[in-house]
Amino acid sequence: MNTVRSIPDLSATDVIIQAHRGIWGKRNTNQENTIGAMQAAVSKGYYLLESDIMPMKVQDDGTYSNSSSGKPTDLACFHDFVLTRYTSETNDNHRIYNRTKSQLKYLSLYKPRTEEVGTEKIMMFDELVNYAVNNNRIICVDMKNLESKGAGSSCSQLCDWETQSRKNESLYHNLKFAINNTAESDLKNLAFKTYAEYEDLKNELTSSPDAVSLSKFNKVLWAPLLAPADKWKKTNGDYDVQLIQKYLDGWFLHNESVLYYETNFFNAYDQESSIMLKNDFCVISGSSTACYNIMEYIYRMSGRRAGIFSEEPVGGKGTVSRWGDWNIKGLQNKGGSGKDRRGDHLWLLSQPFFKHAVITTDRPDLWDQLND
Amino acid sequence: MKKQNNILISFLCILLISFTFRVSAQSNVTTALGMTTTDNLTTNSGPKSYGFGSVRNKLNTANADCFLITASYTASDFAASGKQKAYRFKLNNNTILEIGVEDRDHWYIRRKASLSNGSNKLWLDYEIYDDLGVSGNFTFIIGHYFIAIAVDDGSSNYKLAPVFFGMDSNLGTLISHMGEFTGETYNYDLRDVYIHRDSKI
Repeated sequence: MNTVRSIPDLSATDVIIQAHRGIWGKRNTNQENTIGAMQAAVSKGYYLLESDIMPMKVQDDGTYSNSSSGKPTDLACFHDFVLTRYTSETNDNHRIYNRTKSQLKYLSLYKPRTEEVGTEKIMMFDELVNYAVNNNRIICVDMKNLESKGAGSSCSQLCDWETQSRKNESLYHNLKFAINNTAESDLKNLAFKTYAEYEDLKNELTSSPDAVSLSKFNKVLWAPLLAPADKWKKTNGDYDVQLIQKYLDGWFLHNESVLYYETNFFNAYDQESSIMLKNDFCVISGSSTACYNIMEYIYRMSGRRAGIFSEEPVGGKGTVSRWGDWNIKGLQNKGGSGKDRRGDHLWLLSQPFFKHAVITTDRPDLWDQLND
Repeated sequence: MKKQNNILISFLCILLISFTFRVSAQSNVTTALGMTTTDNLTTNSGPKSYGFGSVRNKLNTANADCFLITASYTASDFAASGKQKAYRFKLNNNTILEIGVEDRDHWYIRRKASLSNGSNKLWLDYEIYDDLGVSGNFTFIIGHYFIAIAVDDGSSNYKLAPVFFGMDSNLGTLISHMGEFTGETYNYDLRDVYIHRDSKI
């Protein structure tokens, strides 16, 4: 893996826009993750559409606290576990993971930033796939999994899904369901975001129960994710560049299965993630060594773009969790939690090699202005 | 230092918008901030521009983080089509902010940064997604990191659409940052925007 590829014109801005949940933010238009939101993105000419996918009517004993299965009976294009944030559902105990397809289709969605109930319904995963296939678009799937609300003694929901192994268990159930229920010829229109290594994905998905066939697995596209996490740290707490490179190198070997590489850093000063902006990612070629930031390293090594979710707002109160809880991000250098500058378009563009990123955004209209 | 201490201890929640917590319109924005009309840059009706230097100097003199402008408009104050600026400011050597109305329909904020795209300086237009209208009594809260537009809703409430940029001016004191905040109006959508009490000129 010592091939260094030529780089594009660095003076030009050439970002690829991925419409996060479609285009949906404007008042009184389409709600997020709906067919209308996807149609709005397609009408603007975007080829990459992103959608959250949630498991429905998960099979278990009915309590969701002692589930022995966790397999979904269907998948919906939806962000939250709760249904009350932007649907006509008023019963907070009705969650997407305990609702059937017919129960969800009974619900109406609010129009963005209004109190008006629109005509749109929750879109099912297979409807989204059909739309992508028929319109020659790629859906980048943000597959959700069951996970607890809170931890330990403060856990209040889905407490049996607190550990990473249980979360992974749910995630693999959902991925298997999605792949197994998509025609092999249609898989070219899907890409799944993943934190996993390629070999782990392959082993998990192609093994029982509900194994994905090798033929289908080989057709799937992935978007490997890098994000600040303890898994990349040394025992002294510092980030380990070689661990990150090892993860990337594993994917570079299967580059044909990669749509793009997603990175995630919050700002230039965040000690937890600034490593991605430093020229610490080195390539040895003969007797010389060249070092780049992670964006350029990925491009030079793979020929694929790196990307980032610019984390713009979901609504009037910031970003929302799967449980419908709002969160406000902090400014850089101001202390406290957060320190997140990803919503700053001009700052993002100032970062080296960022002019050639895949931008997952809720505001494609802003990024459009910045492209040459 | 005294100023900084005052800033540190004086967070003020200026805005809570909901159907259950109603506040009066224009005047309550300034009241909540502890400001008087003499603290504001008050305009007459109609679009207006301030010279770059005057705003910058006032900000620097007051060591302020933001300032307010109050203004009253009708739609006819703006051109029927295209973008028309209402105000334009240079907040520091690198940042220019412009507030305007497009197609007599919605507000936009234009931001220029020191970044360049080739030989061209970058401008970025943020269309305000919320339907604030372009007629009414407006309050513009302007800082290095953000612009917030508040408008009297005609009764005892007001609507707000703040836009946050995340610019690193070393002066901003907002504790929150997003690309844009907009005014959802669900009953349960309480919203807080924190600005230091001393954020005024």
